Amino acid sequence: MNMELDLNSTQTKLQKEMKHFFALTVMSLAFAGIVIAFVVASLTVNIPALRTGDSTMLLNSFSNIVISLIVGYLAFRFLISTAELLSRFDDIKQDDAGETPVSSESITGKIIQLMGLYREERPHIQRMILVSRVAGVCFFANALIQTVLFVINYSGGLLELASGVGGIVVSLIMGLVGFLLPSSFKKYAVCWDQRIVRGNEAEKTIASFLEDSS
Amino acid sequence: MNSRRTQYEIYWEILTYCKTPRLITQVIQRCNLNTKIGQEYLDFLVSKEYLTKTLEKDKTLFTTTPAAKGYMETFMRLYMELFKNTPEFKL
Repeated sequence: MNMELDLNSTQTKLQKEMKHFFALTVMSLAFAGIVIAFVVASLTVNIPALRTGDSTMLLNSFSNIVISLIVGYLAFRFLISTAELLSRFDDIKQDDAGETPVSSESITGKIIQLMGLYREERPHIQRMILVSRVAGVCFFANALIQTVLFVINYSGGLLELASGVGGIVVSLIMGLVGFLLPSSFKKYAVCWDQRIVRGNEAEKTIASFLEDSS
Repeated sequence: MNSRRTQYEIYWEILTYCKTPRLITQVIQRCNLNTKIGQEYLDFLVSKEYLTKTLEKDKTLFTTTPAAKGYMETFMRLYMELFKNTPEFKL
């Protein structure tokens, strides 16, 4: 009875975690997609604006292009890493589709697969954490530059105010998401790092079991 | 599944898969091993008497023996505990 309860609680925990991680990777993909769309929009607006003779406008367009290119590169790397991770994770997720009743063997098999995935994808996940944070910083920097330029150039008018504030708010939101996503990946990494450490300890027990049984 | 696994994890996968008699090619394919490594793992498990080799219609089949039960149960218990006693990942 107890064993059955343990099995069910482990299975529930495992399924919940897998669901959360799947959601996190999908959100990351969406984030990267939105960022790339912003980059394309920003480049489309700012590249033609380079022809202007106004030095303040030129500086604004140039800084936007530089930030857009950096963010675009990071977003593209992030997108690729996330897509790879999602594809691997999806393989594991599909393996046990609809298996009832749950056996301890199927749960153990799933744990092995997830540990293997984490061991292999750990560098990717660490890179995703870093890239997303850098993209977040870039968005915050963009918001700051937009704010400074808006304060300098604001000449009155509701339309100008709305578009200026709108752009700043969007940059701030994207910057915030850029920090929230890696914090979730960080939680995942901390959790699995602990499991890997404990797994190494478990391995010693298994090794000594094998030696004793010979 | 291409993930990096430890040798003990691979032993467990082979033993679980061979609960019904299997050909070496099936084991290699299922556990995603190359022939050389797969053969080494199978030899090790046979030497431990966790697997037996039987010949059937000129084909060698590997089957998990009752002696492997202790290893498999210890492994499963440790891995389940590992998952149970660590903090849960939440968004």
